[in-house]
Amino acid sequence: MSVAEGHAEGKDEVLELIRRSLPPGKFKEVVATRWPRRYIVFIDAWALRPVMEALKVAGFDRFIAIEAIDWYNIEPVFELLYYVESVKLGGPLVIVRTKIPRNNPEIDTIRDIYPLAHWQEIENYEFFGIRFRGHPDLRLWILEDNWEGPPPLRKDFDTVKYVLETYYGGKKWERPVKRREPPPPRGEE
Amino acid sequence: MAESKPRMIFLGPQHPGAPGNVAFKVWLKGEKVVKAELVPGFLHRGFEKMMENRWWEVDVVLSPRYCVEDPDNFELAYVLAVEDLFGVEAPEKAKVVRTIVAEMSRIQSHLFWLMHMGGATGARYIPGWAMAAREEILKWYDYVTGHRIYHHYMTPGGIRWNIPKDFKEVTLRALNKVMPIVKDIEDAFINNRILRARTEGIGVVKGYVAVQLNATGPTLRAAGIKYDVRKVDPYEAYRDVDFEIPTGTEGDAHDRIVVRIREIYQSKRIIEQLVERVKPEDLNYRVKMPLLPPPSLPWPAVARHGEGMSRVEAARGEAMVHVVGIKDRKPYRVKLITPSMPLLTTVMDYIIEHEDITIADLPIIVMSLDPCPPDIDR
Repeated sequence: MSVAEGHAEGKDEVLELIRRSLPPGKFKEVVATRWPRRYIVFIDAWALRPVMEALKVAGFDRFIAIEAIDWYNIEPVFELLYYVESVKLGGPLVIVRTKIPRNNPEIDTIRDIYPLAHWQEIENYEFFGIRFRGHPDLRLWILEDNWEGPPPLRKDFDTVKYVLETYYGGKKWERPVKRREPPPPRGEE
Repeated sequence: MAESKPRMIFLGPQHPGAPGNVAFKVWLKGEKVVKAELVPGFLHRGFEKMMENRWWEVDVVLSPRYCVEDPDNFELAYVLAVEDLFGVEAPEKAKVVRTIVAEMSRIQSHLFWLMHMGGATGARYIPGWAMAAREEILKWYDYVTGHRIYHHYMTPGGIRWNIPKDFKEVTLRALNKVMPIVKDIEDAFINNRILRARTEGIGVVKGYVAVQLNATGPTLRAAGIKYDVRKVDPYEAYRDVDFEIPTGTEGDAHDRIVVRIREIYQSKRIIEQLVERVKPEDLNYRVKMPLLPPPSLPWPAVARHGEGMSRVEAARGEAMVHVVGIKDRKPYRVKLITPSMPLLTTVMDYIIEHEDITIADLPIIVMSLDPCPPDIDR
């Protein structure tokens, strides 16, 4: 079922609050979804920081996660979804959605606005290869010491093909065992 | 004497004080913890990618497996998201039974955590008691669903098979065996002078700070903030059930213990109300699901594609599942949003920054946050 179906009937105070508090001209559309008390804000990628700052000021205080969707064959973009909810207002949820080009996936960091975003951005960097401008510590975190391939959650990454090429009779098949250098002899100086 | 440099040691993943398959790099100055950094990834299995390559109904089997302790709430989250996408609503009976199963999962998760907490504080009798109580719930699961740890009892459209004829008696009997043990643990452990000395005033996350650190679940409630997805965004049978949200006042490790124990009593209260409403002879417990999700609307309107979302309160906090379906037997994208990441990153950093913690306090703080490390890795 489509998301934007069934707009909430009557006056929606949280929707009005979001519309009022977002900086004018920096967002494309704010919609109420078919889920009660969950809203979607469509923005352009350049407007991410002002929109997130405005949402935080408006009371959307708990950051939940960043989700990336690879619309590989359908459209050459990564779609990013930023989930924030408001504990202060008693539970409404806002999803900020934006698209960035697939061949140059770059977007501003929001790690100074919400602390958890720091770790969520690292996660999206390692699984999708999305670079967050201004993030000082983009590295392999969950896949640390364990991964040399391309970002694994992209749609053009074929797990079975990669495994066959790399492990079963492939590059890492019967790899030479790294032996440690013997320690230097002691006592003779 | 010259200023000594901090010394780095690994805590975990095999350390008894570590909460599971996760490690910390801990920098120490003498006994004082200067900094702790999370090292995740020991249990990364790529669930999101795996689920993209399997059928909608097969993914139910994968959906609980990233948290051993609390499988049913995550299973429920996935099932609700798929139902939401397909536009199917489960029958009333299925909703009630699922809620009971999810609440039982919360109780057994808290008991499992009590075992860890007892281990971390050195109260050696608590793990045995807690696991004995959890065993009763596992037996109940075995009888009702056919499995002990991962149940796969929920399925998009309802529950997999009917409940046994003596469902009510079995459920109440299991609760009656569990609750005296919980009461014993409460008497022997919670008000214990030694435990109080070791947990009070330690690991304080108090008041609105918890929200700013993006914490969730019992950690948020122990900080004094009355926030529970079961109340603010009710799903399944929680709408017409009477229960309270226990909150703490100080936000320290002891408050988190107390909040979880009180949550066990609330779960029992929910189950006792719901168990009256299910009838084994009612055969309307599952509706047929279509094989494919409903047709998507034309591109490029992004959000017009088929999407389903669910939001549940798992034992560790708010969990969400977002599924995207193009007209296919397999999901296009499954995003599992899990509660543990803020607990071990932002909250831990805050505690270490604001308190003088020794290495002996660290297991207590980590365990009192009750993270489930596999759900960080997924």
